[in-house]
Amino acid sequence: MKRIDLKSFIFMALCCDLGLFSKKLISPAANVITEFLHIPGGIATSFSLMFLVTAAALMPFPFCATVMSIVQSLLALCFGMTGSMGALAPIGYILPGIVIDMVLLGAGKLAGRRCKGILTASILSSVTACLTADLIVFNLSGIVLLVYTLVAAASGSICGLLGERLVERLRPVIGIRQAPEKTSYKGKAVS
Amino acid sequence: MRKKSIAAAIVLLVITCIASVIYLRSRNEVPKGDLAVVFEDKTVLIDPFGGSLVPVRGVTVNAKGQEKDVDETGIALKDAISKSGLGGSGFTKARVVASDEYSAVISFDEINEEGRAYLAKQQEDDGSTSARLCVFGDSDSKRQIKNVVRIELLNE
Repeated sequence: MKRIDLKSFIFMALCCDLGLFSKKLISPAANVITEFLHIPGGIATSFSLMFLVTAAALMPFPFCATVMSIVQSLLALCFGMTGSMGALAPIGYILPGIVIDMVLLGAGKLAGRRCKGILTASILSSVTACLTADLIVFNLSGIVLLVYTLVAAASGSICGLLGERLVERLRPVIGIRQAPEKTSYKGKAVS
Repeated sequence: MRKKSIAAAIVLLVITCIASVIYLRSRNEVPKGDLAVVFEDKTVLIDPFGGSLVPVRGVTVNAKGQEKDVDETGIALKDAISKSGLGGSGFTKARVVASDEYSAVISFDEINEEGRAYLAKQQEDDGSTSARLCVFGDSDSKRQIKNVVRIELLNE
């Protein structure tokens, strides 16, 4: 079991908050596109999920995104940021988190590196979030649902590319590394 | 890897653009200020706020669960439906649809309940009017819909 250091916790908390509040910041710009397309959303969520994907790709332990999404859902409930999903909002937060973890886990097993799954994780988590919202709130069908899903996937792919860049930049600072072993005075390892 | 990622994003964008064009072309745009009432295969356009308006007063619950007093003018939903001349008593519920396809379903009994479902008149920035669905007595904001463009009368 890898130990989690304080820096990782702080980074995860930061990404949780950024993910939650960036949605509010980007919503007015995203609404311009979604209103033009006559769909009920799908872009802002992808942007907010980018922070979860980034943190999950950088952290050296599994289920990071799930844990963060649970924290986000609790924060959203506390701050009343549940939107039209109401009390069911945690489902909309947690399911994409689980998808991110599954994809990154798969990428780690298949490709050897978790960060190779960033784009796929971003796309699939965005699609999961939009389908969950559709199931709980919107009940869209036919071509509207297709466009809504495609917009979420496309914005997820762009945010995935941004996420890849972010991970590249942040790796030297936050990068995956095991917590140092217990060391005694003058750096000699303790058995 | 990076080139593959960019290529995948471009492919998705192109597919999305094509689907969006097809979708937007297939949409039946309702003129601003009007409302389409659909029953079976008939569609009638009405101007919901063309006649006399009634006060729309009550309490709704917003997305945060807070109560909000509404004091506006508009038209009862049942009056908007009867303006179209469609449906009569041959429908069991109505699906009220916004311009972004967000929708809410209201039963026949709720529509005919006095003081329950209204279309409130909203003034837009460009001077046009739009309709906002107000359903009083709901415990959440799921059926408070802005920019209503279509009412589908269903018999299910």
